[in-house]
Amino acid sequence: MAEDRAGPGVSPAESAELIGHAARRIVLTYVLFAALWILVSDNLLPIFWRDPTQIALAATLKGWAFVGVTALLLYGLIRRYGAGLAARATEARMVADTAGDAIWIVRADQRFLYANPAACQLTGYRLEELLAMTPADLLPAEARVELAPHLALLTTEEFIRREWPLRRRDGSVVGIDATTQRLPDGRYLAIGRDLTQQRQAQQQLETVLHDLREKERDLRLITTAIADVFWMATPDFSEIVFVSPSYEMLWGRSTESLYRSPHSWAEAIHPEDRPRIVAAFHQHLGAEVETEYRILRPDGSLRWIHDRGFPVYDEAGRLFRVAGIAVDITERKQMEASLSLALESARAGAWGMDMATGMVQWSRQTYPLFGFRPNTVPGVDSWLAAVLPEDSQLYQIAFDQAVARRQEVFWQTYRIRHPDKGLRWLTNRARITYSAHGAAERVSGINIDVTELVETRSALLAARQAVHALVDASPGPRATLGRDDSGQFTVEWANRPFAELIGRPVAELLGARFLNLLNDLDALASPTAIDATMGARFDLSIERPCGVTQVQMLVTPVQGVQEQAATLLVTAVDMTEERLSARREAERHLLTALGRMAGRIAHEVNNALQPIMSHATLARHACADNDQALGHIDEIQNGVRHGRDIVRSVLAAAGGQLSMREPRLLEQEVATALDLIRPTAPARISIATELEATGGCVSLAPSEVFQILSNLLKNAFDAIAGDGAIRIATGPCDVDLAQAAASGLVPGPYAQLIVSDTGGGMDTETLRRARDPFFTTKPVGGGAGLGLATVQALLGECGGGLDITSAPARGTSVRVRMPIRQPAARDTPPIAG
Amino acid sequence: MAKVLVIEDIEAVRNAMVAVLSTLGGHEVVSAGDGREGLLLLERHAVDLAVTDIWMPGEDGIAFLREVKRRHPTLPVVVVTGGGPNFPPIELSVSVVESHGADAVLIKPFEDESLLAAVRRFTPHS
Repeated sequence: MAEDRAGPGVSPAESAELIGHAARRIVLTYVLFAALWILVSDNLLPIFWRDPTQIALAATLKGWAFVGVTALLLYGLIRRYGAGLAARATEARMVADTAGDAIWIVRADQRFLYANPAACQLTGYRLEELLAMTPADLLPAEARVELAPHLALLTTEEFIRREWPLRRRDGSVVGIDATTQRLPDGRYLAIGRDLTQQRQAQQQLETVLHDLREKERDLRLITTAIADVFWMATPDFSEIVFVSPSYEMLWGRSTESLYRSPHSWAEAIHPEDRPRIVAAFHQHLGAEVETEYRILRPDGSLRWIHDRGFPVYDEAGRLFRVAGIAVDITERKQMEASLSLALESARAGAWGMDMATGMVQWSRQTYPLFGFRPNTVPGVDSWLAAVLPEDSQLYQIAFDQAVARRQEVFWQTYRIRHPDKGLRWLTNRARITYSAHGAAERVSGINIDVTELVETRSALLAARQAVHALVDASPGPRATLGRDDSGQFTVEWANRPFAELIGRPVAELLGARFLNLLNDLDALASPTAIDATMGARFDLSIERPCGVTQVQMLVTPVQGVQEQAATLLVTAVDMTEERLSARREAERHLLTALGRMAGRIAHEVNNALQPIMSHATLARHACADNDQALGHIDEIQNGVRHGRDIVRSVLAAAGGQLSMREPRLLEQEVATALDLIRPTAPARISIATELEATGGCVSLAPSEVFQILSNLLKNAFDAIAGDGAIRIATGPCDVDLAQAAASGLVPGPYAQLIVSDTGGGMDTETLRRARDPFFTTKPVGGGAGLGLATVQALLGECGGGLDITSAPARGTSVRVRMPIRQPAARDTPPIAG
Repeated sequence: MAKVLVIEDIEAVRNAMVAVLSTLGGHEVVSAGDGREGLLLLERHAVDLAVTDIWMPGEDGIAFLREVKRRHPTLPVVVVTGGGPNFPPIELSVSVVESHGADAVLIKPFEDESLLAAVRRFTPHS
């Protein structure tokens, strides 16, 4: 048991060393004390005593004192060192018991002398069980053979460290890293560590390291991809720990140069900004620093940087690093500069207000804008002093509404009293920012002087109102066009006739896109564009229940209204009658030409056939006895008759058109008929015409008009004995109820034809009988007396009538009236007489 | 037998009518190329009936007709017409000629018997 107690705490060698050390200290102390005692006491004795007896007695007493003192000294020394040794042994035992590694001591007979708790835990055996075992019991069979050579080797080697397989109590085998050595007294010390845990720990460490490397790689990728510069430095900037590669792009210098010369980033800062920035970073250590500065790149270009630095603390809370992000804000700065220039150019005053504090900032353009003196303090009061009171109230109401509706943009125009310029109109456009709770936090905006614009708009409005009044007063279809936000022409104003023409109510037209309206009316016309300065003209065919209406839309710029306002006047003209008339006129000319040609051909052919016919008749007479010749003559005459029939059918075809009764303008038909009759007039008689538009179409065939006119003229020619004149006039005429009762006509609009002559006139009796058939005042052969009767009959068929005014020696005037069957377009130009 | 004045500008037609009237009708015939010449012949000859074309150069048939009816209201006038450039429909030609006092209208090419019948009709005593 003595071995047990001495065992694990201090080794025998250590104990010997300790004891040896203690013995040397005791001996040395004794020698020193004894030498000093002898030396001091021998020299002191003669000083106190002179008497040799006294000296001898003193020497004896000194010798006994020496024995006593040295005995006490030895006792003290030995006690002190003995206690130290015991304490060291206890400490060693405690260390071994609490060690994480397994510790074994093996006696020379190969039995375990000691095993610490870690060894028990590692092997799975209790201490009592282990003390009954040998190291070979802990080894698998294949390893046991190595034990003896190992122990033999320890006699020469100070210690051996190697891996051993260890068979645990549950039969499992674990690898341990064991260090063994042979102690001087022949025992063995072995210290082992479970390699399984170590390997797991190593694996974990490798995983952690791998993760770290991955993260670092990601970080590098991120910092490479992002244009912003990440940086990290020691707090005194003596070393740059990290800077992202984008530094090279932004600063135009290599990252190596920065690592090499950590202050080179600051050297790039514009000289004007450098002291401020360097001071900011050094004076605010441990706090976030946000700065903006300019850097000069090696190529001479200048960039604006926004740099935000922040402190990084270690686990102990000490300032460890300074890191930051530098961002290129050059473009933003340029935009700000441009904006500032723009605001200045536009004489726009920028302002901002903190809603919580009421603090207001103004740009310098605000002062001239409002006429503020340079020392005016920016604030709501100064602003209110300039704004007209009624406008400031309206402004406040509008602003409150905007905030209530959480509008981000607020726009209000108001008036100020400018000290130099008088009343001015300003428009304010502001942006409101809200807190997360919805309260308005800050308002910033610009004020622009829009006085000229307001005045121009007022003038424009007045001009437009004048144009609208003009449109309203216009009897014809009229409208004005403006432009909407997308630049499309829209109906700004329209009168009722215009709405009726389009076929929609006025209210529906206002704001409608004009070209769309036209497209809806006539898809074929497909109007595409309007030139705001030149105007446009559109020809439309509008289908209406009563038929197709031809409309011409004239779009003209309104003079006197500003160009940018693009007010255009639209005038619509119903061209239906004009177009129809033009077509009829063309047809009439064609038919006339065709008729004349047919007539000429007929004349020539008939005159060519007549001699053949007559000579054939003569030949028949001459050859009355010659049947063969008579046969030939028959053929000749049949041929002539066949030719005659062909000519007559051609003439009938040409003339047939003239017999069709359809709506025609009387004045035009009279003009045509007159062309034919005029050559038959005696030279002594002059014919004057006043062919005024009759206002509508009558239902007559051209041949009927010809008959009417030729009969009336024939009578007139006969009535004028010598020289004279005939006047032919057309025009509109309304038959009212009274006239209708007297004439037998139906009340309504009529077209009238008047033929008056300067002839002898008629007495009452003649006049009364003038219309009777076969009544004539002419000598025999002068006419059948059917002229006026024929006219009367024709007019009766078309609902018209005839009245005659005449007196002896005062000429005769015959008026023919025919009902209007179809109204003509307004403003039809009269036919020249 | 009647004395007939024929006014026709086209010689072939004039000769044919003259031949028919004289050879087949046995009438005495004087002829002229236009209205003016015809009026002169009327002054010189006691004519029973005039046959005239309408559309002729110079004084045309209408003017002749009107003048004849003025000077010799009882003289029958037979108008022969082949139509003309200004009166396409034959009916209108007839109408206008009749309205100017023509006693008969023959449309060329007419049957010669029609001409002879018209002469007989208007000169019953001849």
